[in-house]
Amino acid sequence: MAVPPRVRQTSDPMSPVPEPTDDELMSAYARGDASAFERLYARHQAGLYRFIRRLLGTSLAAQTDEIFQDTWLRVVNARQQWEPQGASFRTWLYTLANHRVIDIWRRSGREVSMSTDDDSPWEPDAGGAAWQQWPAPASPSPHSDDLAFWRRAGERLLGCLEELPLAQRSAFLLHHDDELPLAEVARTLEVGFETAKTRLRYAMSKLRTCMGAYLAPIQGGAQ
Amino acid sequence: MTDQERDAHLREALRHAPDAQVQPPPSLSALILSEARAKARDTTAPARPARHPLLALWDWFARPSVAAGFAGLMAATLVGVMWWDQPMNEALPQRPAPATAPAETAPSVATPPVAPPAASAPEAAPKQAPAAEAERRAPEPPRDALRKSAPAADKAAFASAKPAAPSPAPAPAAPAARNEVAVDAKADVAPPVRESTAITALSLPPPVVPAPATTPTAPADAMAGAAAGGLAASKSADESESKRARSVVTRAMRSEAAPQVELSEQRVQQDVARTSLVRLRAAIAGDPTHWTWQRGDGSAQGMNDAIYAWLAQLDSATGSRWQPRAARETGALLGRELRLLRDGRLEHSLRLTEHGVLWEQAQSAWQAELPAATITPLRSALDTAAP
Repeated sequence: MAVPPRVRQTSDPMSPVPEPTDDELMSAYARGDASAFERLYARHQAGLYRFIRRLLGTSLAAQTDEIFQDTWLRVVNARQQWEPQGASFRTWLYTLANHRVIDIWRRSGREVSMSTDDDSPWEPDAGGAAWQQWPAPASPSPHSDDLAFWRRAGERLLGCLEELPLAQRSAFLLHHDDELPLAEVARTLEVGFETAKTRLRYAMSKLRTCMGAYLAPIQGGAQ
Repeated sequence: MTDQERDAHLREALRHAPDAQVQPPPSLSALILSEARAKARDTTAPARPARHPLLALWDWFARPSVAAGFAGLMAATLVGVMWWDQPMNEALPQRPAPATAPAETAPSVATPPVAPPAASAPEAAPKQAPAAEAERRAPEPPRDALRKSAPAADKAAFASAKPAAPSPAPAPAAPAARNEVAVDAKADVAPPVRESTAITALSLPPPVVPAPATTPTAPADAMAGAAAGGLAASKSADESESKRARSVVTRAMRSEAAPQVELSEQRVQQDVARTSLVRLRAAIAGDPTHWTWQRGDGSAQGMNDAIYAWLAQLDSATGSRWQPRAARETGALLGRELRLLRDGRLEHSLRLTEHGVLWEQAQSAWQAELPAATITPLRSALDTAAP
């Protein structure tokens, strides 16, 4: 399985012309440069769409397009008020999407718990022993058997994500899928750093437990 | 937990999830990008660079308020140019019209010797002769000069006209002068429409002859026998009125006040006569079947090219030498006169004299003094064309 290319905000050191940052592009768009917005969109459209889709889950996946479009249109309409101070553009973009997902989630009648206290106490690495039997991740040329294993693991992980509360789900996705630093995660979710950290630990613990419960059948099927 | 403590296994599982390659629909992307471009255009519109100064000036002129102002200014300028050096007749006080009959029928020195009896004046058609109209439209002398010179000039004119005038009762000089000035004032307050008519007649002659219905009707045979008397009888009282007005102008011209008025009046009269001859030729050329010619006691004959060519020769020879026919005799007649009839009715009479040519028509009489070198070929050509 081909790994989707990740667009980096940082510039290539070998490139003679450094890539403009997200903030520079957004500033250019605020001055009327439409091409700057196109470059911004190209950078973030895939990651944002995937984030919204996974955050909504399978039951609300039909709302993905609506939230995705609404998020970008909010960016377009708020271009004059945006200032490259404080949070980065990516943080702002994902914050807008997260707000819209929460709205949809509440509209659908689901409970949105933003407090980690309501959740069960976190027990670190409840199923940590099972991970030691998984193939090594991030192999440059994974074996075909390993590819099949990770695909099934990915399917299983999406199922496990459905079991997480929205706050923990968003923290995990931002940190693991979109590779936001923990501080950025906290800004995106508009919570404190420790809160974000706690949510992330809860999410990882639950996911490891969830994934470890299925480890034996997956391994048995793969081997 | 630090950023480096991300769970590598979970990340790898996420990377291989079935939705890892998911992309927004292309139509959705196109919609978002088009909206963004439209908003970008809106953003750049107010920050448009400064336009060229001429374009900015044009935009300023295109504003409704500015355009309306300039239109009003242009209209005022146009009206001002049209009335330049012209008295505002509507602004002048109206003078009461003269009511005394003797003043109305008072003759003037400009009355031709073949003038009709005074009894025919009331029966005249109301249509004005071109010469009279032209005189009425002629540039006028300064009003103050006219008023100052009018009493003295009128006294002299009245005294000189008294012996020859068939006036029923000689009127005092002062009332006559007042009446003639009043006639002048009436000519001044003529509506602008009539002025425009005179201007049109002077500028381009229409290819039609004056309406014959305005002339006193008389049998063609009788007119053939006494052409001069018939033509004289056809002159209307309008002519006498116009001549009276002309006499006022003439007296004013004789005074020291307005020598330029005399020149202008002469120019107008010449133009009117020349225009009338051109119109006569155009009328004959346009409808030759209605025209006949007659010489002496001979019978009327159809119009031919020779007569038309002679008229052209006459027009070329006289040019702008036409003058209103004066009272004095212009010399003995040379040969027979040429009469031009339309539908059997006498319209024009042309006579060559020792000093030039006499032209009488229904409402006016003209003369043009010509050198002998010009008269001789005209006479021979006329004898050849109309033997």
